Amino acid sequence: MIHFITLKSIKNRKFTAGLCMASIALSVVLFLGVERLRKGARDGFTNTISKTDLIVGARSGPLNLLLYTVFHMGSPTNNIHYSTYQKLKKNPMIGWTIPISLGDNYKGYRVVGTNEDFFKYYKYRGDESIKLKEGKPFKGIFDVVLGSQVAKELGHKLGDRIIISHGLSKNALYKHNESPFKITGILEKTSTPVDRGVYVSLYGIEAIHIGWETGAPNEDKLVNPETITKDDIKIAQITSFLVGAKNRILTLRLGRYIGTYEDEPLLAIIPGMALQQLWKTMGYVEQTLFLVSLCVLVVGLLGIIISLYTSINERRREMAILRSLGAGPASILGLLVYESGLLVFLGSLLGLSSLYGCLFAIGPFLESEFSLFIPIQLPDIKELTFLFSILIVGFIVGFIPAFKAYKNSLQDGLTIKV
Amino acid sequence: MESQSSLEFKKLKFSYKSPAVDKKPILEIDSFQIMKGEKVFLYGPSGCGKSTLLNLVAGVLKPTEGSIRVLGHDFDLLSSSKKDQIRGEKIGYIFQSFNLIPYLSVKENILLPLWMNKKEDTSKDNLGGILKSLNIEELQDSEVVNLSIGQQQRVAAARALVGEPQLVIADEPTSSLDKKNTLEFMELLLKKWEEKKFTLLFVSHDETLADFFEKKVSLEELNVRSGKEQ
Repeated sequence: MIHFITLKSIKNRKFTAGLCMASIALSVVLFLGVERLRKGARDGFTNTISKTDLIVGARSGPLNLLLYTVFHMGSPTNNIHYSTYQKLKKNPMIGWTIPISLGDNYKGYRVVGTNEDFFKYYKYRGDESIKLKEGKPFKGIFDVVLGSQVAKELGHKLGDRIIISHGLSKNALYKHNESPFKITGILEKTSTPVDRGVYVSLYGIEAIHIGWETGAPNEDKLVNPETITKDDIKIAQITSFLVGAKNRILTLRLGRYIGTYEDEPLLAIIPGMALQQLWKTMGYVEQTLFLVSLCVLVVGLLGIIISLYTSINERRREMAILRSLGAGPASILGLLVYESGLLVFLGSLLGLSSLYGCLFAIGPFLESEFSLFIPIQLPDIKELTFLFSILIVGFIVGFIPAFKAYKNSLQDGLTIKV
Repeated sequence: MESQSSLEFKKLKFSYKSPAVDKKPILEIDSFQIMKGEKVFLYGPSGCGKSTLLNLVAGVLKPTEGSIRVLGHDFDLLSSSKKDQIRGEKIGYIFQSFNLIPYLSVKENILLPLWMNKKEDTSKDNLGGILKSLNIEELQDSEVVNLSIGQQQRVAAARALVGEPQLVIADEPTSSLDKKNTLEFMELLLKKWEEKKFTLLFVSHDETLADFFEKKVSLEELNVRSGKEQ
């Protein structure tokens, strides 16, 4: 009976009830939307690299090592010997490695020297692998694979030849004009710093620096790209390398082993921990978003209270009639609290479906324009808690006009003129 | 022994507590009784206290002094929910402005008191009879907003009578009706009274309706205070 009368009443006041539900839906979309953005930003950051157990580099600060290896930011303070890398690679605790060699740039984008293992083992956002959108990985010394953003921004296509600048500065004095690289592949978009990298082989990096021992080109010693082979190149050093342990339980032991490696001072960091630490140092971003969420929540709940109160107050006359027909406090309370709860429930449902609609519609835009990946997934515990809370608020809010209606209907008496 | 009176006033005085209102009693009734099964016409001009009296009978207002017994219950001593229960189970109200719920159909409006008092089982038995006797059988699925004034008042009467109340209070039920509808309504209501023998307290300012009743009571005469003032 309560359900029947409530539905009929809502149908009769479809405009105000609709506005009330829209207001609730808007609050839900705003709060959950901001929360998803916050979570998306954090997860996007902390999932920049995954399944990598350690990052190893020359001894410096852990954040610095993380920044230049993963985010292509800052400058490496020192390199490590390639021989050290090769020795460590054979350690039985190590499953795979990806060498990273930095030092040059292409129009402001970092040039990353690595090997084929980069395409095989590098993971981001959980278990996502690096994939080629077109072309193939580098094979020759002067082959290059571009990150998706580099290719898009600079309008490159397969087969184009590019000239790498010496050093990390966009406005470098010298360019490796003598050794142009040919684009053999373009990576698929990852929405991570990988998109902003220019990937060449370790041999390529080493080759273009032959004759550059003094930091400037020595015309007599420069290589001829037409004739040089991999046998002519001796890789001396790399900047850092990524490590996947054979067994993740061994990560700490392996980290300690590398950190105390006697032949060369090394630093091994666990990327997940370092990323969390780095995110904390940028905590103001998250705090600001959290503050916005909180404001949205407070304003939203106030909006819910006002619209519910207004909507339910419209039923004062009905309540007076029902009381004259013998409706007791339980019936009046039941009717109004049920209506309030139903409006909040339907409003929340509308909000939730609108949120998914928005994510579905603008998700690809956020990912392509802001590298912000927001997965379309079921509400998590926090979001469910919020939805449950507003449902509770809805029921509680229903009590206020219900109590007032019950009290006023007595005052209205039996000569109802409300 | 069970009381034979449906309504009983003893040394009743009522005055509004608000400082803005005259604190002298606006109603003062020494003694008045309506016996079970009686139909009583209570009349008086506007402002003589008819609505106040009805609110006292319904337990909405409390007497300042004295007592009111309704169907054997001293309303003053009852809790609010008990009064709700008695109102729902034993009293039927017919209002001047009908007070139908606009978004419910005729049938749903009539069944409201049964739903409110959890007597859904009696719905089928009572509904058919009441619809037929008030000539609104064909309207049962119509929206009440689409009915004429006369039809709406018959629906309001059906709603008041469907729970087979022991006491029916009709507050100016014909004031919105024209002559033809008034007569039709009175005939149907009194036919139902003949059939069920409930106690009927019919309140109106229209003294031409007094002929339908054997017992006629002027509130002005009943009210000691207005008598004194006159």
